[in-house]
Amino acid sequence: MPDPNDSLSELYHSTPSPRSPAALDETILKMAADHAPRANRRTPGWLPLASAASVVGLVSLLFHQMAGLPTSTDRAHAPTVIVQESQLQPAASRVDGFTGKVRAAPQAEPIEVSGALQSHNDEAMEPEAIITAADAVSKTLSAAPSAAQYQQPSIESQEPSARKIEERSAMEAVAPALKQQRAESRSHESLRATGELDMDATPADDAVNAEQWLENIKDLLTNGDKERAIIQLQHFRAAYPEHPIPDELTRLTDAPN
Amino acid sequence: MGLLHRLRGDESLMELYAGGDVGAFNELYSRHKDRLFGFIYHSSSDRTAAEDLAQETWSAVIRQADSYRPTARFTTYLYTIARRKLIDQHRRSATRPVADADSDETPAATGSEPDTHLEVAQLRAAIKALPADQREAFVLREEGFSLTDIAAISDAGVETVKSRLRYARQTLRQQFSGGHRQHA
Repeated sequence: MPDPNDSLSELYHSTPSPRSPAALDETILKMAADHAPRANRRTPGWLPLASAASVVGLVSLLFHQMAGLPTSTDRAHAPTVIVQESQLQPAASRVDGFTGKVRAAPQAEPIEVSGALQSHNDEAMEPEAIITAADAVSKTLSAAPSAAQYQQPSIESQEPSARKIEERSAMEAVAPALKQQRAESRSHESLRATGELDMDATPADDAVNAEQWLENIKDLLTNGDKERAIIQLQHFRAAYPEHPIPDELTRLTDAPN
Repeated sequence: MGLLHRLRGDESLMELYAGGDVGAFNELYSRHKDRLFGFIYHSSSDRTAAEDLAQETWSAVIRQADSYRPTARFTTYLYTIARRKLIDQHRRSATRPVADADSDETPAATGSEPDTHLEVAQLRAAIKALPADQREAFVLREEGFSLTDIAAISDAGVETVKSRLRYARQTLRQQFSGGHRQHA
């Protein structure tokens, strides 16, 4: 601030300061009014993006309503489903690493869960119904065996098609027998070639041509070793049940010893 | 609306004007027009030039309202524009002589006492004869700006402003005292 004791300041302020001329004021105020920025020129940069997002959301909502799909409001009941999935998923993942024998999960449990879900899909559920369904899922999950006890069938139960489940179960039921037959055939092949049972026979040995095996059996028969030929033929049938067997060999086994 | 505008700060008014509120600018202009004009008048060569510079300054404020951001006080913003206009004006009129103290543009025409009238006229003439930096610092100081504000407007340090003020007062005292003695 100017020093009041300063004689220069005193003299400077001894007369009124010059005032802005009225004509100048009028000119400037008119200029300000004429060139006033438009009110909407300072819209935030995110406003157009937000508007676009709102339009997209509205269209999506209308689409869902017209198509009869569950809206986000309907999906508010989704915790019932999410709880089920989130609790089942770790069990399934742990089963993947479990290579022991398979034990089926109780069949009634998925039915209870799906029942809860079905009631959800039918109508907008009342809060009490949601709680009941959630309780049902929770009880089902808690009553189920631990994750380590869940075996392959429980995973398979999540497959969408029951037919696939049946097919896979049938294949898995046959698989051990097939494996055993293959192993025996490999062993017998090894026995045929080396005279000793090769316990290290690998699946690569399956490449042995069935026809070649049959030729070898014929050779045994030709050489008079009928007993070994019969044994080999039995093993061959076990290993290749669908492979046609020449009549001469068929008669060999059918003929009384 | 006028009352609400009066309750607002300069920076807020400027933002309102940037949003299209002309009344906000009217309030802002009424607050600063006379002091700004005084600063320009004391720093420029004559009254006509002062009016032109004042108009240019406010015109710049109006044009740049869109890009105004309240990062500093509005007064600093306003006087910085005015100062640059003055510098441009001084460069344009570098060859023209500074208006002398006997000019009929002296605004102290209302002075009742002839001696005071003459002393004020002599002081005005002495101020106009100061180097631009010293004149600027002196006038802003007499118009009520703090050293910090002057430093911000002048784009200089506070110590530099103090130095300019000291030299300005020293020169004015010498010239005014001589003139005053001559007049006496």
